[in-house]
Amino acid sequence: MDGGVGRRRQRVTIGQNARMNELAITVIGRDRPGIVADVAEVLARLGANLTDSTMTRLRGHFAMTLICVGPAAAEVETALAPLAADGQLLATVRAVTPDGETAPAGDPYVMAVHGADRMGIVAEMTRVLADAGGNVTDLSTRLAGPLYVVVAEVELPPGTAGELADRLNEAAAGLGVEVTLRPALPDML
Amino acid sequence: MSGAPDGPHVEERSDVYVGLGDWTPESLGSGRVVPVVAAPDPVLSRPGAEVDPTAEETVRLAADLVATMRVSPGCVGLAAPQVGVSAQVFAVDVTGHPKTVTGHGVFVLCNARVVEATRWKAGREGCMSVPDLTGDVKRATRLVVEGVLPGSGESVRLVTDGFEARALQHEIDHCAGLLFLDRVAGAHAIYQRKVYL
Repeated sequence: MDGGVGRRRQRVTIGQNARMNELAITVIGRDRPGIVADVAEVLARLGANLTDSTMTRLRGHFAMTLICVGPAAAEVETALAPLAADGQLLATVRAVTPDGETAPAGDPYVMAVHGADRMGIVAEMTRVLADAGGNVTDLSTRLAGPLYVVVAEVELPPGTAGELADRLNEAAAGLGVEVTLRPALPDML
Repeated sequence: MSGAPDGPHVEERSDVYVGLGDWTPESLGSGRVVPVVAAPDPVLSRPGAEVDPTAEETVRLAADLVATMRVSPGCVGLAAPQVGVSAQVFAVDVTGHPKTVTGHGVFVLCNARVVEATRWKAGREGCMSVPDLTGDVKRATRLVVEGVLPGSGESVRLVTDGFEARALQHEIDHCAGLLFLDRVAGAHAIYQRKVYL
């Protein structure tokens, strides 16, 4: 497969006729230079259009999650298999249903938590968010030595932030960690 | 009147008025509401040309920017590339915005440039021309800008801060062919926009 122009055009046509699949792909494993390029190249060759993706290193492990639109899941899985052949990477492909109507967006906030590491910080703090109807839209957690850090982007039902902040503070006090909840409204310029 | 013959670059501070003086947006006449373009329109990524601030077409463009900015909900600034014109002209009006500290009301600047920028601070911003994303961008919160007023051709120096400073840097970037996307703080500093005005 050389991914030439003619071939690519043909592939796209076939894909469109055959119904476009939305695929969720994860690639996890030992980090090395070139994994993103390798994965993206495979997808491009198949005519799979990479849409939203995120990649980071989690405790040194390469971790990438992406959504793409294109051929059937099995075809993509087969094409990615050589990347995982040495046992250092794990690639999974699943067909997902495209998002329908999304719930009305709440008010955007950022919750930041930091303190001494212990069991249950994420579970407890995000449970408080969930109980208030808050929806986490982005989340990062990091353990750095004894320090644990959680940063979450969250959408809150309008008018609930004040009361939620009190409940977060109570939960944080119980866990012996610090929490801040601040609005993340962008300035529209 | 300014002694700067061609307007754009003001070398001598004694020639430059601090503030807008008696310039008013009404001096531009009434403008038309024009369509706003969105990325990836290539005009947004091209450095705008310097303009003759006293030329009739510049004054007309300035009036159109003000008119379009006024009818766009939540819009506090609009640059010529956003209405498809690759030129160094933009309008700003942060009046009434809750984050405004210093504000100069409604004004338009041509060929503007930043001459001093200090006290950098990250903030989340969005743009009419990138309607579905926002991003964290560091901007100076103390700013001195020089530019030329359309119509009168006066060279002015604006000293501002906070929200107006952020708006000015965002619009000057547009005139240079830059979007906030070119300045985001990192790989995880762009977000799906959640709230639409």
